[in-house]
Amino acid sequence: MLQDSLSKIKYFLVLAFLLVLPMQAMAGDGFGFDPIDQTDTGVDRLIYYYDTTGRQTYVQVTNTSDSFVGIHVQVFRADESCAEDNFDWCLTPGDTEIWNVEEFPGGFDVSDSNGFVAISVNDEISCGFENNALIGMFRIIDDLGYEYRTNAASSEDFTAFSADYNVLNFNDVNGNNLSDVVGITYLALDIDQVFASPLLGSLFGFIDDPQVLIFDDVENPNSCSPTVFTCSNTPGLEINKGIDNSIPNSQGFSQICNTSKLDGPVIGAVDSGWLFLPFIDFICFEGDGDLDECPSDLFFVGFLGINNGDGTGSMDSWISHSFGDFQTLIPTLLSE
Amino acid sequence: MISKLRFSLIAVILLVLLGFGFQNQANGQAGENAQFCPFVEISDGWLKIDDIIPTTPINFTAGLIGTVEGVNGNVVGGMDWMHVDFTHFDAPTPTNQDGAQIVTWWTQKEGRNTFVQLTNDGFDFQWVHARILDENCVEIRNFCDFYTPGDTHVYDFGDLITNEGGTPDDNVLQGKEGFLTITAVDECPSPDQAVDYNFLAATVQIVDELDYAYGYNAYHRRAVCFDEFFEFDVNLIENGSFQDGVLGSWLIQQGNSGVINSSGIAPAVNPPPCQGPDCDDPDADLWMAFAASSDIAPSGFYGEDSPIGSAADLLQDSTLISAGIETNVTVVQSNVFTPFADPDAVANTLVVRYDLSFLAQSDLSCDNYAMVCVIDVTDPLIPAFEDCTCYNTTGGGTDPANGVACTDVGAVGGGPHNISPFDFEGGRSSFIGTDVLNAPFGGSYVVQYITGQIAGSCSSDDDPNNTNGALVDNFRNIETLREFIDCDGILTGAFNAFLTSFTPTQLAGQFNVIDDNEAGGDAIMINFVDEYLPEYRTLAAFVTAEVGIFDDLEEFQSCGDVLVCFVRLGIDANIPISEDFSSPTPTPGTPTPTMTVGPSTTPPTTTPTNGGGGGSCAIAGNPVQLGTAFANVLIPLVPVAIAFGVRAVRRRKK
Repeated sequence: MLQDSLSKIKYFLVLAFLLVLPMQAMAGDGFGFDPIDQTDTGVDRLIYYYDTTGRQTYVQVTNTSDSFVGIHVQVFRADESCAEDNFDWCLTPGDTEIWNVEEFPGGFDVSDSNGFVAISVNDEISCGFENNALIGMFRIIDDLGYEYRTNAASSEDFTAFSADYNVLNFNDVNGNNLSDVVGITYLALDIDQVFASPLLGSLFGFIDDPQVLIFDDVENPNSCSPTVFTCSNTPGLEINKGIDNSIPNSQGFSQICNTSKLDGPVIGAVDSGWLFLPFIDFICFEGDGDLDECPSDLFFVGFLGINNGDGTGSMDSWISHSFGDFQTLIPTLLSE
Repeated sequence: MISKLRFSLIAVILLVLLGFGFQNQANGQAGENAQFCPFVEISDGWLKIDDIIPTTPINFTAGLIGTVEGVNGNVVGGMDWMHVDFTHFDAPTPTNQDGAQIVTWWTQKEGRNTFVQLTNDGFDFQWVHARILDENCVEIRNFCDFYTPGDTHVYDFGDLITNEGGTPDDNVLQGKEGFLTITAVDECPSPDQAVDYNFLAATVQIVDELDYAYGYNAYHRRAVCFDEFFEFDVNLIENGSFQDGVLGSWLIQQGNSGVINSSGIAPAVNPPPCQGPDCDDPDADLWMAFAASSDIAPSGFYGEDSPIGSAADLLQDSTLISAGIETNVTVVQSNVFTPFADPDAVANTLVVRYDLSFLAQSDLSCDNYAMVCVIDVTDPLIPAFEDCTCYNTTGGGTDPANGVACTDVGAVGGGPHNISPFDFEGGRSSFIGTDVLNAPFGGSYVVQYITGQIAGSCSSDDDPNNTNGALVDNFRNIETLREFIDCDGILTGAFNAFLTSFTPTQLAGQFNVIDDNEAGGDAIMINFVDEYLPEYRTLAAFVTAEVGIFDDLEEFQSCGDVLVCFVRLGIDANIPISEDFSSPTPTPGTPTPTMTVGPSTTPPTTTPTNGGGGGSCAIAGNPVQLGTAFANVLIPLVPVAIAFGVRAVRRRKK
């Protein structure tokens, strides 16, 4: 039933996003609060992107502590309801686990899908608990012979600055011509639980300033429409998008910009550009498509992959800029 | 006989067990076979580089880990930074946040080509300076570049062209590897100082001729630059602890004085521990001053022999402590000081503190004295005693400022003391350090230490043995200054103008191989230190660390220690260094990768500067693991033990 209602409203959501949200989403300086992704130290929650459409995804989680650590693994498929499956696991001291997401314990089916995996420390099972003990890494191996590999990310590091805008470099090194701009929006429900939905999204760019901008190699900018990332593959609201027409999405999803920046002038042998993605705010919908007030524990994680569709590719999390205001985030995990 | 046989068998068993037991832990030395963990055969696990201890000054330590393997006829690979236990409170997310300096590994070895894309995501025109160091941590190429706001550019290390179109000679890079920094600077090539510009964002791609790529965000070091009020104490009495080893600012107005150390007096006397800001000087505890009143170096009463117009001259007094006519008076005067005269002053103790030890004459019944005075010289022509405290062995006499009786120093001891040519036959009092003299707000002052004799008060006043004096030290009037330390955007390395340091004590690098495929790996460590002035440079630094591997059954295997500046190694025997990885049979249609690796045909335009420390930065001199050592000793003994046991059995048969 939920899936049916969502399928009916999805186009309304896109319409609302394009016409209404940029005007309503945020007052003030136009920059909301979204902590910069943490991929360098141990954390309590790890977020991984996965894709099994012509790809294999392997996730690795390691307990770097000398204690037993229980974890709760949740898998969210970017579909009309952002369906979730989950299981618990116990990591012994120094333990590392590697799972093919299509062979997760429990046997649920995530084939031919994309979405994200959240691994959280779990104090509800009789295993053990330790703060900031988890590190993670994932590998997405495409049938075309390239790999996306990067550290998993956390967005709940209480020391992190706010990601006021994001810098997504792209180039045609070795013939790169495809991209995966991944945006994961989730709600931290509890220390061991997150929630995601097509009704929860992250908005980048206004119609007015600050806009999404795309620059080419000779710093010519163009503005692009606001864009939203939700846990769905509804056109315009996808979890995975392309950069522009010169480096579109690897899986056929929509582009953020209607430009062709890698076809322009270039200094040197390698063409390049970058995407300026100002974080505006989280946006939330009611079931009927009306805007709703967002809960305070929403977080965003971004990954960028580029590849040549023919053997080479790479992925890492977004690079962000903070205007320098130190944010005292009261982390959900540590407040438990 | 049976007991001997049992002993032999037990010896054999123990040696065998010990040998194999230690062999399990003895996995060769890190660096052997170009692997962090030679002889360890783990395909899924994590590399732990622990107890990282700098052996030289250091500002940056980080590691990368990547693997390559054959999957379905293709070669795939990936890399990212190793996790760390600590980054920096001012830069908690260094690989996901832009900064003022970017750091990465680069390589042009083994058919690889490095591409670094740098973006100026800020609003200013900006100079940058790239410094490329080789695997020996020696700078082999550097170049300047300039970025407009919003600018981005890819540096192709096989065909190096700058954002401005310059063509630095890249021949020196080919066939080599190392690490590089690109730093925001004020102007390049001069003055070339690092600046507070946190708008550089860089990504790296390293493309291998086997048609796989390592791609990752560069490390970003954030500039920290802030203005700060800085409070610190100063002593307005110059050379107050005689730390200069001479009287210096203290002027002898009349009489006898000098500076001595502990051996300048017999028996030796240690100067009292320094107190206050003078303690910053390493010599503050070495020196003290003395004053002596003696017939062997005579002088007159107070002020009689002092320079005309001096405070003592203007305050001239033949009965300074009102105990009789004085003679042989010594007067030594400090600099003039004025509390709160400095506009940065926020506090002043408004008192003078000091340490004084009375050196007594042989006749303890006479009123010979030592005294310390604060004299108001606000109007230098009309000086006035502001506050004084006098000391002797009788309590006789009064000070000239308050009319308070002199302090009886009480017990003196230690026998005669000598500061050549003066003999203080009556011994010495302990140091008195609790007295304070007022130096109130609104005046200018000098401090005088004075010794004097009362003519005729001693039983034999013509006896030179009646010499008296004092040891004095640690004069101090402490004022607190608050200064504004501003950061004008130039990073000097000061506490308020620096690039964030990343010096973790632990690195953790995850790895796995799918379905036991053949694989190769690259595990990299980078260490360096900043030199800010006169221009910013990146120099070699070294750390020691312990290396080990956890497998997917959480069993830990130690792999030895390393001493390293830069190194790239394979992970273990299952994932050897990537050069040893051979491509699986390519599937039909696999394209030949397009590479631009090789020397540029463009003439060089810049000259490399040789920077950094010298010498190899590869793993050096690893101590052999304890386990290895024991194994090496014990395993050869196993056949001996077996032979010993066999001989015992033969003997038993006989």
